[in-house]
Amino acid sequence: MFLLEDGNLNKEQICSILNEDSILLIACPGSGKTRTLSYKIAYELSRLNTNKEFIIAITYTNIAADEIKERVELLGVNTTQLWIGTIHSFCMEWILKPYHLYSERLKNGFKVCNSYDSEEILKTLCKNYTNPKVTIYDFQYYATVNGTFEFTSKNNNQNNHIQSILEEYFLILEQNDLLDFEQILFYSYEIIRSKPIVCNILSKLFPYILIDEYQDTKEVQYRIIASILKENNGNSKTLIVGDPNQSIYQSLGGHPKSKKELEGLLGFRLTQLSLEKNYRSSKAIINYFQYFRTFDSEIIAKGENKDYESDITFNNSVHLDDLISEIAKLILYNVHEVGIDPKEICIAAPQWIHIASITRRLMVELPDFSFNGPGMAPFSRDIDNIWFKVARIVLTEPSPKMYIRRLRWSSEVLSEFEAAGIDISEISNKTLLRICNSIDIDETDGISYLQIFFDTICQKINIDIKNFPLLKEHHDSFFESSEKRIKRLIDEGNPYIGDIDNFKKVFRQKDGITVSTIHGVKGEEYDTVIGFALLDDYVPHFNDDKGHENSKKLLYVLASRARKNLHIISEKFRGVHKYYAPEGKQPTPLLLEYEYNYIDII
Amino acid sequence: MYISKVSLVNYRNFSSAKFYFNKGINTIIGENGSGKTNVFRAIRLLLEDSSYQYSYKLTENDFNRVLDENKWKGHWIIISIEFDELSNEEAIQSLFIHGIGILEEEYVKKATYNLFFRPKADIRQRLSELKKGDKAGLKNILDDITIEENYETVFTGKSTADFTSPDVYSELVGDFENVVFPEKIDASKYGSKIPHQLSVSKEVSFTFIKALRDVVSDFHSNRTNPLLKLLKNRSGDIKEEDYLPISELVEELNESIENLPDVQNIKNDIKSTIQDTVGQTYSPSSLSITSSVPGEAERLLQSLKLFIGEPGEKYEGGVHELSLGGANLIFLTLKLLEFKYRKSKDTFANFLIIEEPEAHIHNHIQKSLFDKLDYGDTQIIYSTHSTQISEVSNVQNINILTKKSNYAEVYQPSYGLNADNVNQIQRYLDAVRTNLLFAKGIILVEGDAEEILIPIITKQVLGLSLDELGISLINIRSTGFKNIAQLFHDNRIKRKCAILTDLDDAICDTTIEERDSERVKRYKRKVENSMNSGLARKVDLETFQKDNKWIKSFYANYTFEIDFIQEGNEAEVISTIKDIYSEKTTREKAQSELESDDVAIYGKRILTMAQNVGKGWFAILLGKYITYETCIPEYIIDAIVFAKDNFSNHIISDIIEYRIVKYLEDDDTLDFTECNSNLSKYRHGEILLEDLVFGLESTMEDDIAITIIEKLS
Repeated sequence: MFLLEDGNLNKEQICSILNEDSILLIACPGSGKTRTLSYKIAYELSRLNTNKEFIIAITYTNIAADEIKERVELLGVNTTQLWIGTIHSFCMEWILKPYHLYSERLKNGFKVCNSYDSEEILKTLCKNYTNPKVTIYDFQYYATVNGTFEFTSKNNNQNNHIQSILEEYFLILEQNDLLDFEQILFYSYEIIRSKPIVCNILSKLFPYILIDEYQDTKEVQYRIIASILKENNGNSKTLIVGDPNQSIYQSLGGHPKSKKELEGLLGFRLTQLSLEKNYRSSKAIINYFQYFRTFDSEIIAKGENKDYESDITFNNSVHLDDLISEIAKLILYNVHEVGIDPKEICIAAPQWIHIASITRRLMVELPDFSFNGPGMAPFSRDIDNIWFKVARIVLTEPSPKMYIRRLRWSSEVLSEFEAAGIDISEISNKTLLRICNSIDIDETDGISYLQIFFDTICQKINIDIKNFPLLKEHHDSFFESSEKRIKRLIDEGNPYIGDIDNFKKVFRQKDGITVSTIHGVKGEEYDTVIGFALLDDYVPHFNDDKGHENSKKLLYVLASRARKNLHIISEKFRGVHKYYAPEGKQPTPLLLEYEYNYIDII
Repeated sequence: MYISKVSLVNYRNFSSAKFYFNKGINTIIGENGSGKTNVFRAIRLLLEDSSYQYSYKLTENDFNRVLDENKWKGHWIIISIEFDELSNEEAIQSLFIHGIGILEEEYVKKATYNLFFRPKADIRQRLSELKKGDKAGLKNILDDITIEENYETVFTGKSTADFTSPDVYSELVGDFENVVFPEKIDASKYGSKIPHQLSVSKEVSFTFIKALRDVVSDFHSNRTNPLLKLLKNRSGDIKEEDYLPISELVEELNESIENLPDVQNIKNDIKSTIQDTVGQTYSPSSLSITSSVPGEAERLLQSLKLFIGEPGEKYEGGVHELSLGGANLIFLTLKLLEFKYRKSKDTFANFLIIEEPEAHIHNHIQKSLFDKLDYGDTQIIYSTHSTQISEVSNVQNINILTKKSNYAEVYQPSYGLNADNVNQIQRYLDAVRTNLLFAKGIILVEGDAEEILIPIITKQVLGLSLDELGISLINIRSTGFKNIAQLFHDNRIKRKCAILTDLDDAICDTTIEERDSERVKRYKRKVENSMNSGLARKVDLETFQKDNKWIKSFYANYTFEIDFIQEGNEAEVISTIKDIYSEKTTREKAQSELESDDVAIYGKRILTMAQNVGKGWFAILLGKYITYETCIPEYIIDAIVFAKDNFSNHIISDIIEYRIVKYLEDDDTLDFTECNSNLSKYRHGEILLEDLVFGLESTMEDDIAITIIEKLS
């Protein structure tokens, strides 16, 4: 049994853990939300008195699920009756796998279409449409609660094309018994609507459902979870936790519901609690980002950095051509003048396109530093690809520190194998790990290395990949996408990116300066945060009718990542237009409105 | 919740079989070797925690023998269990329902749980890619298949298909004849995989009690001793501290034993003897005698023994001293207690499977045992070949197993009958204690005369008893045949049932004349009424048996006695006269009447004689005079041929051989040399039946054996 009063938790946190009601918990940035969640899960697990029930925790990403699970395990609680994962995994595990037989479309079996493959299909379809042209970056679609799909577009005149593209796309998926991520939600919701009894059964298995990051939850996701919770006459409890100020996935349909709306869906009362103590940032940082809040909440600085004398700067005069050297200067200042560890520095921008090439250029500018840019991985981190999961094991070294994690990866691979129709009754997760550890390949090219490695594994567990369509498809898709990436990266001037060492680097613990989109750093924290490309049309997005509010949220997330220092850059001469924008795009209006007393450090 | 159905496909001696069960006590009746143990083995593979591992170790020997010599390759073994009366309102059932429940709109009532032993996905993929009719391609794939490399065991739930249907099998597994194999499996019919959170065998309490054959040795083995199991079950793990004081006592005891003067003396004597014989150098450096009464809790428990006194005796002895029946009773009791303990744990359904409880337990005890075996929410399924026990079980809760050449068939005797009909059968079965349900063929008769005489005639004339022919003769004691005969049907018991009844045709002219006395008039009216009801009965029976190949009626023109005499057996009947009449004149009158050619005369006489002493007694008297030469009335031969269904070479040869022996006893000048040699050839299948008959006809013209053979062909 773990101890709640071991000094790791504050009073608010303990209150929300011990509270017997269903709770809506508003957690400000840096308030120890993950810790509270982990203890709450451990507490609820220890309260179970039958082995027929499960505690469910829905996280926003697989990484978050892994982290929380590890933390609960460290608390010494048996996690056999904990199920934790994303809403998509939840739907797969608890609705689609056991109940797909009740859907006409799914009863003959289905495979999950990984994001690379679905992008490829959409790209091919887009090519057939001109006047106006449509690319996959122009639209996003999502499942609605009415049993339909809806989409957002950049320009309304594309809508007819997008409509037809999606229709063709769904047809292709159906013909190949494939499901993409939105369809996982779509068909799960369809099943529980047509067979309400499913919710009744599930509700009796789940005495407690925890939902993390509720502010990014979509309508259909709310409905799926609420339909289950509602069925058990209030006997299934819930903890809904998140921060409405950080709701940055509005374009995908994510939104925080109010207590009243949630109660309406759930059919029972919620107790609203909040975590208002920020253990992360200095008073100055908190004071700075509180300006951007859209949801009224108190934040009290409580951490060891609370009295840190933060550098908060805003540069709206630097020329795009000098951006790299400006960022480099900031890095050097933080490392050399202030003594910040490089791995505690993060560089973030609103869109993928802004950070795509910056990593490489920074590497040239600052050859003594290492950088972790997402664009630098030689293969796509497609977590739902079976072979990506195998690669995780293959590309990490056996070590006591990694053992538990690699063992879990090994179990995940085995359950994927089983789903693909392979008889795994003779193979345990340890056997698979032992097989992987025993293979030694002398090959420096990453792609060849992995190909040989995968072949050897198949040989050792006696399977012929050709006879298992799902394995084959994932295999093709993994190598096809990797080859494309490597080609692009080499073209961009990274001749050694295909080396096995670069492959292995992907899974190493972060050891350099992080480069990411603002969405990508959600939930993380750094001593120093450098944000750039904070320009009108990006923040807010030009086609966003709630632009003002959403740019607040994005800046709130960006600024609240920082423990100590924050550097905001709105560079000039980006997106120059001869008539409309001779000096490029203007800084984000919100930043201009904000009369903050920035300091000048350089 | 209870098991409502078990379906077996290609498993052991079942090619395709369905068992139906109800709540409460169920019976599986079957002769030895009909597969009772295999049904239980199948159920255990799915529901018994300790057998679960064996479901992953099936071999080619587990395939039905219809698929021997590599014909199993590519085929599936399917074991499917259906449960009924689930409740989605009970939280304790939720995981079970989540995994295998069949969902209706608003509720869940049934669940299915299936084991598939099948080729792995790669083989199935290759089969599905074959072109229709590509037999060479099919052979190519199948030839290389081995169990070890290419077969897997998977469990599914929520299926709705009837796996025993040939159409279902070919849709799910494939059509080997035309080479068509499915690419996809429709989960709405065949179920989805069991989620890994669910272990069905852990959700239910399941106890299997094997046939009680060697109980005493079970008591002696620490592994199988039910007493030890009970103690462990009852108290969970043994608590060391509870046993500490005892262990200390044992230590003290050991010490006292070691210190007994006699023990010390012997020790010293051994020591000195060794030294005297081999000398100091080679003697052991130390030597002691230790008392080793066990002190550890586990071993202390093992030393516990049950001592029991037989009823009515004062002496209490060990299990090995008990009579076999007594030991079995104790074993069964302890197992039932084990079941009771298990039942109280965290499970919501209780199953008790008992194999042949009659093995060594006396009938009377069995009956009261099962009358009292009522644990409320517990379903009991037991197998038996004892008629006594089967009477305890309701006819609706019975499955009958029948052995066929390479497989077994299962019948449910009351399937599809309405409640009234079932009640009639139940009452009848309760009353007559018959082995009706065990027989391979049935002849139903209406009275004592047939019940007594037909077995005697068969034995005397054919040399084989009805038992040896596998025919049960059942006396309905009325003409209400239909109550029992309805058991025999394509949907129920698929065995032949012959009905023997009298047409009661008039033996005299029934036209009433002016001059007839009142007595004659009454007689004539009675005869006429019998005739009419006989005709009506025939019409009724013919309608009843229409389209049912398992039932057929055979009619005596008049009544059994009259038809018997008419067949040419007046000598036998005349022999009984002296037993019936004492007056000389009456005896002579009776004889002359019996010798008459007019049925009105001999018919009336034989009926009078029978009435005189009672039909049953008359039949017993007549039975004394039946010889091999007695002629069996043709309608009875027909009934026997129908009910027997299948005459093997050996049965026919046995009959002929018997007849030859009888002929030779009467007249040893007859020459049967050629017959005998033909017979031996026929017995070994070297010549056909027609060839045999051809040879026989010259020596045994018109013999009953030839009549039967002719009827067979």
